[in-house]
Amino acid sequence: MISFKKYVVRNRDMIWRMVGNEVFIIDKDGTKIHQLNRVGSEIWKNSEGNLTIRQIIENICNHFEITAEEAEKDSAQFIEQMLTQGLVTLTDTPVTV
Amino acid sequence: MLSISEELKQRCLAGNIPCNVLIELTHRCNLSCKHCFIIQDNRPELSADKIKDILDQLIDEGTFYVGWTGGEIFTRSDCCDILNYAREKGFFQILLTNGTLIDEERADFIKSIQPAGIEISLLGASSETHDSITQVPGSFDKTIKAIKLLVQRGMAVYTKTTLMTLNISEYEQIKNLSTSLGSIPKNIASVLPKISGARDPQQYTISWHERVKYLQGESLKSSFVPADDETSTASLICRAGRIAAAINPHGDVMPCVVFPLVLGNLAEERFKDIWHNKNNRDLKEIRELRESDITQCVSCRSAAFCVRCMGAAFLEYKDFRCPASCSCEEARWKQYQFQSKK
Repeated sequence: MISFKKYVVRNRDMIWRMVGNEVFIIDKDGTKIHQLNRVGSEIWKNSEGNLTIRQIIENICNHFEITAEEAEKDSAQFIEQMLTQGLVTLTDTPVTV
Repeated sequence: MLSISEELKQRCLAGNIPCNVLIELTHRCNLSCKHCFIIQDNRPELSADKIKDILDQLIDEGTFYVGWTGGEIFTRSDCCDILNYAREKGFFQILLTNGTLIDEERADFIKSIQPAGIEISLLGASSETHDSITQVPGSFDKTIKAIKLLVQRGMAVYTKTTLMTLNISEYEQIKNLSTSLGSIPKNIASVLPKISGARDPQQYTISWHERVKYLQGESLKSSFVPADDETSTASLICRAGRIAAAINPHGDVMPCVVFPLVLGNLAEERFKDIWHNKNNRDLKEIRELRESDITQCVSCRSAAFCVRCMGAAFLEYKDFRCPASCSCEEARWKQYQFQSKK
């Protein structure tokens, strides 16, 4: 289980754009594309290194009609997936992307 | 089920999102190729700051790929500054150059920005042929040197050859030269009219007889511009004006560099306002165009093989709904090759 006190930082080598309401991410050699759903896109946009996972979850609750419990569970799971795929890193202190 | 890349393409098409933008940094060139389609324009070029501002706008518009072309991009002293900015901002960059201004230092720079592709014009297998087309002695040697410098640095270099009456007899040698240098040959057998519509460059178009003699069984590029996927599937309607855009050195926004229908100017308007201007009739017509609207082409027996260049049609007839002679020839050739295989 990841600590909600950690800061989420996007991998700078990933190239991403908002396409409609969703984020598409392409890795730097152009071989892999990731498509995020609306909640995932919001988490991604919040992953600039200046917000903790707890703060991101609060933002998600404010943006979407989901319970805090659902937001916690889904966000944590999603961030773990992004971590596994090298899309983000976690830090103990805020960073500037 | 669609792959994510196809999903991305479909999303872009649905929203007219310009995921590919080709930017002509300058029309100035240190070569003078006989088949060049550029017409010099005395208006001032966009400044580096303005181009950076445009890049910032393109991020918001969903642009992933930026191609840099000219003229010769490295004749601009601020070219590296602009390319570096694009790298920092996170674009896939494709560089189109003649290579003659690439020395060791510039090759190091190019490696540092990690371009997604580099295309270098190679017009002959010998200095006699290449230099006679570029009309600049010594250009062949410089181009070859650039290819070597970039390949030595581990970069994927494509040589781009427009096959013409002037070099077709060296086709096999050009291909072999490119491969022996460690680059990847890309060939196109069509020649565009000038931006003004003047057909002068097309005097160098190879004949059917030359195609049969030199290009039997060969796979050629159908698109004049670098495509993100390079899969030139048969279609009478291209991406221009929908998910592909072009910007000339003076800030004119166009559907494609070879489709110089000016949609607006970035010195006066923001990209978004030009690209999504619902009152622009030209854009509306391009985006609403269906294959069935292109009556002459739909009934053509080579239609299934055609990658119709709307830009070439526009250059030739000032009407993008017309057949483009170079696309027609290419489609007939593909059909002929397909039938020859059977």
